[in-house]
Amino acid sequence: MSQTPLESSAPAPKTAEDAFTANYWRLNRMIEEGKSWSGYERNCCFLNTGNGRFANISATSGFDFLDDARGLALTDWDHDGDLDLWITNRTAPRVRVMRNDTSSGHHFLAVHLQGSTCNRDAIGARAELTIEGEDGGWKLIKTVRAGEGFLAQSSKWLHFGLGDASRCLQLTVRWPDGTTEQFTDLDVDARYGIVQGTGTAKVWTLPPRELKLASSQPTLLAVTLQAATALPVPLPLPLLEYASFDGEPGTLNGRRDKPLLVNLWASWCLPCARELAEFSRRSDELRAAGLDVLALSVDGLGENQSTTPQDAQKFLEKLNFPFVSGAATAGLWNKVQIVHDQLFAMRRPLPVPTGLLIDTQGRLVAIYKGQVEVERLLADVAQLSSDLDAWRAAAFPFEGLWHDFPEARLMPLVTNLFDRNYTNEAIQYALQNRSSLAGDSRFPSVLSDFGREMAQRGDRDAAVELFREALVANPDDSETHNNLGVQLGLQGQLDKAIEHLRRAVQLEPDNAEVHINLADALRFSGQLDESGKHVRRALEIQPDMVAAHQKLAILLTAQGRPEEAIVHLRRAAELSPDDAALHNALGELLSRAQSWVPAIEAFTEALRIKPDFAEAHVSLANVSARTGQYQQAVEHYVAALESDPRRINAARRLAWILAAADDPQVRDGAQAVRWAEQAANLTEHKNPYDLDMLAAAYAEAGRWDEAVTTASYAIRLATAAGQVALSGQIEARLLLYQRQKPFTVPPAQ
Amino acid sequence: MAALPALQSPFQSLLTWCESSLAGARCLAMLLVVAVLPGCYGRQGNAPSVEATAVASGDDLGTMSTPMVAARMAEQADDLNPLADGWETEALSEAANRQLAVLAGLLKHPGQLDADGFAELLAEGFSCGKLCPEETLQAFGDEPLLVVRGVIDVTAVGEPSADAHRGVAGLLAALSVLLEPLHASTDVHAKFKLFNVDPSAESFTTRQFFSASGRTATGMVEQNATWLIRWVRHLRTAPPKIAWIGVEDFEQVTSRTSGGPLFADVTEAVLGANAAYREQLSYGTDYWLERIQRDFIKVTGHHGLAVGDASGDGLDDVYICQPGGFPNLLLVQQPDGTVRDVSAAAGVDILDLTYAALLVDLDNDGDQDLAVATGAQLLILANDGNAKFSLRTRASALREAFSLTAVDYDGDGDLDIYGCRYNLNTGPAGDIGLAQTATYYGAENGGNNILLQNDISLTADGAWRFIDVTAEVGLDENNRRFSFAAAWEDYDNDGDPDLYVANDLGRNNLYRNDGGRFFDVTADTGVEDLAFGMSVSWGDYNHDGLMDLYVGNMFSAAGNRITFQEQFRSEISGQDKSGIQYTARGNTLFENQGDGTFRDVSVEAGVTVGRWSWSSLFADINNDGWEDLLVANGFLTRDSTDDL
Repeated sequence: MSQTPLESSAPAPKTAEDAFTANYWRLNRMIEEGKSWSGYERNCCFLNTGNGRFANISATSGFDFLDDARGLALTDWDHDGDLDLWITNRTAPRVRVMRNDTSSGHHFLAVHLQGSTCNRDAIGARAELTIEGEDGGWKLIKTVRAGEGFLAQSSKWLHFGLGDASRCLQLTVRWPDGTTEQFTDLDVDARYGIVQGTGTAKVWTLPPRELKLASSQPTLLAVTLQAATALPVPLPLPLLEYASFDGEPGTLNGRRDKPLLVNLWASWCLPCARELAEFSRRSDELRAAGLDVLALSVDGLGENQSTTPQDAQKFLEKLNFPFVSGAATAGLWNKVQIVHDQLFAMRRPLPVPTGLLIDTQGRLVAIYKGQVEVERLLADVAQLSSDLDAWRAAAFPFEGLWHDFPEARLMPLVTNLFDRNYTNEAIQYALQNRSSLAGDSRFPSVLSDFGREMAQRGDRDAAVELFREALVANPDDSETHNNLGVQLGLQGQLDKAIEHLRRAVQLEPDNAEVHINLADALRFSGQLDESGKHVRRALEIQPDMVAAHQKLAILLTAQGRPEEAIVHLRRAAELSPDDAALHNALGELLSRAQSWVPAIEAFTEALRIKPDFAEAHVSLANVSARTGQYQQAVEHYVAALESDPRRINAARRLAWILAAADDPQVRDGAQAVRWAEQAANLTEHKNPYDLDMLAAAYAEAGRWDEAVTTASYAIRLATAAGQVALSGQIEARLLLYQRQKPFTVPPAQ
Repeated sequence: MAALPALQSPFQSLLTWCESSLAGARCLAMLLVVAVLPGCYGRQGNAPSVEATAVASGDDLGTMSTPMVAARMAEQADDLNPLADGWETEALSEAANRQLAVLAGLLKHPGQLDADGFAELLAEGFSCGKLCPEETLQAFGDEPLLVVRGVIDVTAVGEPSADAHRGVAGLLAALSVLLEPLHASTDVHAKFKLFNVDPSAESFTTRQFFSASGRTATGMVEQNATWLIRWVRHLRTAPPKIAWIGVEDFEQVTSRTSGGPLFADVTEAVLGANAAYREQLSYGTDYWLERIQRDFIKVTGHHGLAVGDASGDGLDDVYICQPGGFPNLLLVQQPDGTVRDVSAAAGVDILDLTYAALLVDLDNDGDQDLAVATGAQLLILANDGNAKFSLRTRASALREAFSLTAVDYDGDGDLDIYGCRYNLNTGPAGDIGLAQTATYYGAENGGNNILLQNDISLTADGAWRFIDVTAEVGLDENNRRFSFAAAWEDYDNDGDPDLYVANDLGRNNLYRNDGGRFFDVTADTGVEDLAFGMSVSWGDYNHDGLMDLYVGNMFSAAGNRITFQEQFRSEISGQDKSGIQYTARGNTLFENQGDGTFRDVSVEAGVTVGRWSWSSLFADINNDGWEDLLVANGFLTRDSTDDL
């Protein structure tokens, strides 16, 4: 009914938007995996050369850093009369300060405006400066702004470069409130403060400055991949299982007495060995801190197959490792990677060693990529006993004030587990953390998706539970009511099914499919009239709805109105010409109405569509037999039995035709015996009818002794079962066999 | 079953990028700058298989390579293989680029060019004209900068010339003349950027920017040129070889500055004494992405800054915005030009993920108050006059706002705040900082920008009131775009501030202010600039008394290569195609005509190629009275150098 909204799943694209979205996710993923994208670009600087052109002076300017630059702000930081730059970067260093060292010899004028009747910062004030030059002078205009470029605010000082002009002819300030003032006799290479309405430009006195800024390349520290992160909000973990070296299963989940450090390591990894040795050496300290340690070997899980868990075990034995140890499963390792990828927007493959610190409630509280210092570990463990706020504050490397702490979001972990085919873990995780997830607007639809997935797998109990949960989260979701109703119906809980389907109909009265589902449930519970109403409503909504015509046909049949039923089923088959089952059903209805020729046409059509359609073969064989076309009947029974030799009724009818049809061309004793034996074997030679048939087959095959023995035994069974009529019939046939004559009456219908 | 939405314009159908290809994500990355991509066609050829190896690398860590990781790597290899896209021209570009990288490497020591190295690159019968044009004009000659440009008849570039240089010796001679000013330089940096490829059977032609620069005894020399190169390839597998080089334009800048470039890096001198610099700022975002959870820090690193005199001592200070978990930094300038981190004492050490901030006097009491745009809200803090700040209001309507601007739009004497919002709602893509959209051409499902009117005077309780007046003043028109930046300016010189908004993935907005009421006049004024708008700057670049407009966009070499291929969206009209080509062109300079319209003068002015441009500002860096341009660019520079 709806697309799966699971965020990072990439279903086969149906539309351009889908395809776009799928690719967009791939792009996001590649970014998270550390790909460059328009990276290594050098900042640009264009020099205005007049006459409408600019020259590229990026390199000459020295502004051409490879930084991923973002914000850029201008200010004459050092008050030497030109514009210096402050830049923020994504890359290191995340801030750069660039001093303008251009020795142009040009003049400048800097003006600071202060509003009186307009806003005090005079934002929006326009300053127009006329300086000496050709044609009576040049006009330069500047506006006081707060915020421009991208993410940046420059100084409020208006900075005019004056070139060679040695005189400012006039400065006009138009204040934001519309008043204007003019100033003349301003010196060049000077700074003025102008307060609105005073009519004077005051020379601004530079505060005492002792600048001593040496230029240098910022030193960037070597970056290690070793990283220890405490999670400000403890994270519930998905099911993580391991086995001890003896094969004892264990899990990292659930409550425990003490916090646990899980150390994922491999015997081929030197740093792991060093770390484990360190843990051993300082085991007393770790124990005293109240920490359990579990070393799980990942030997043999990756592509490095040079070592096995046994190597790991031997290493630990040699080390006399004082803590519990065992082997991780591939599932555990992958799920830890998924947890990591959900925590960090840089999804590198996890290194070994990786450490997980798990609190007494089974939640992840810290993750250590690479070796962790014992001191750091002890500090984290000690911090665990503090309250949540203190833990949270300590989890970040730097201090400061939070104004709005982002809510922890578990949904991505749920969807990522699901997308990586850890379906059961995803569902279990969603249900166990429903209270945390309830705030996520996607929670109901994710539960609903999980329900659908379980339904598709045939796990109706799980599907029902998930749909119910989804309804708790979103009680008015018609789709979920519908899906739940369908599953309950399939479970046979018809009353409950009807209740949910009625709710779905109420919520979505114009959805024909929902009406049909409700109609089905009603029909199963025997409410045929009510069922009919909803089918007809579905047909009103969607006159060409195949399922509606089909269901109506079923209802009409049940109500003893076969002619009308045939009309609707015929319509259904027309609308869905490639549906073999529909043609077959139409044939059934027609043959029940004894419209043999159209019935045969319908069955034949079904078989054209689906040549190995066993039911249609049987039906066509039945009608053929019924109309005396034995040869055709035999062919189709055989075809049906080829696909499934255990179809006992087909075998029986086939055997009877082959044994006793009145057309000698059709009879075939050997084949009759084959199929009759098959049927009799299936009923373990305990069914008198089957033995009667088998006897007839033996007789046709000329195996008179066996025919007599079998018929006699059949009579005894029939008599014992009180089937007097049957035993009488067999007795009559026994007489024939004793006279070495086959029985050649056409088989009963 | 979901019905397909009706198509609204020819462009709507153009969002079918990369629909079938496994390499779609790469196409998308390449052409994000181009808005739309055709099928990327079916896969051709075999993607290389990736051998994922398990290594105990280095001393610190072992790397586990599990099947899951290996599968990922294999997928990625598919994503990055241009042949898998069916773009043969991209494969040609890659091959040519590899050769160009070799060529650039050979130019490192112009005084002693290695003949053998060049021989490897050249096809038999190589020829070229003069690489340094014979005739040049001085375009600028104002100390300390000298600019000369070649006088070149572009129409004659491809024609055979009698005095052509031939063979390796010829190329060496041409290069020797070209690079003569750099002969003594020891730090020559040469680079090519290939932005156009024209294939034919045996040969193909590429167009690329050539740049070379280096220090000289008296300053620096920088050359920027556009070269046309014809390549021949005898075997598909062998690298192509250069048959001919022509020069379409040439510009050389010579600076005479004793200390090197015009700008000197004083970062460490200014910031170095602060722990925050050493411990926080000297590590890049990628370092922190490994250590701080994604709830707090985003890959895109959009954190800005505000300059203002927060301490009231007359010297400008700086407020630096940081990712979540890092305190924003108030850096107060000291008399010696260094800064002191006073964030905690000032009460502005906000840990929330912060995009932008403003230092402005919101209550007209003579000190600089602070507006801070965080992931969750806009925080407004009052300065008590001694650089101690206290929270006065929060506005969640301005959550996740990128650029902030302040202006008195209604002339009532106090500053109002306008913030740009990019994504409408946080979603999975927003989580890493990208656009939450499925449209790359004219997206209209972005965040709503907000204008908050300052109503401080009306409250007596100490809380500051700001009212969302966006809709009421007319600014909610066309206000669901992915806005990165905005800037106010009185473009029509009628005395009130008008507003220009740069939007990613679509059209920009120019709102004309008519006495506090706004009208979207973007189309009428000719400044739609349908591209990937990222920044706005106003300045009178031509001294006509009218404010002109510079918009930061993306120049994409890949986008230019692809959108000019015949194969690119062959089903659409030339007009539509040029619209798409426009999106990869780069930055735009709009000249104010004074009659209420603007004219796009970007190409003639030579200011398009700003790359992936963030802050792009007019700034008269040499005080000659003419507004120059600074473009801060680069999206994601990572350890892995193969760019998407």
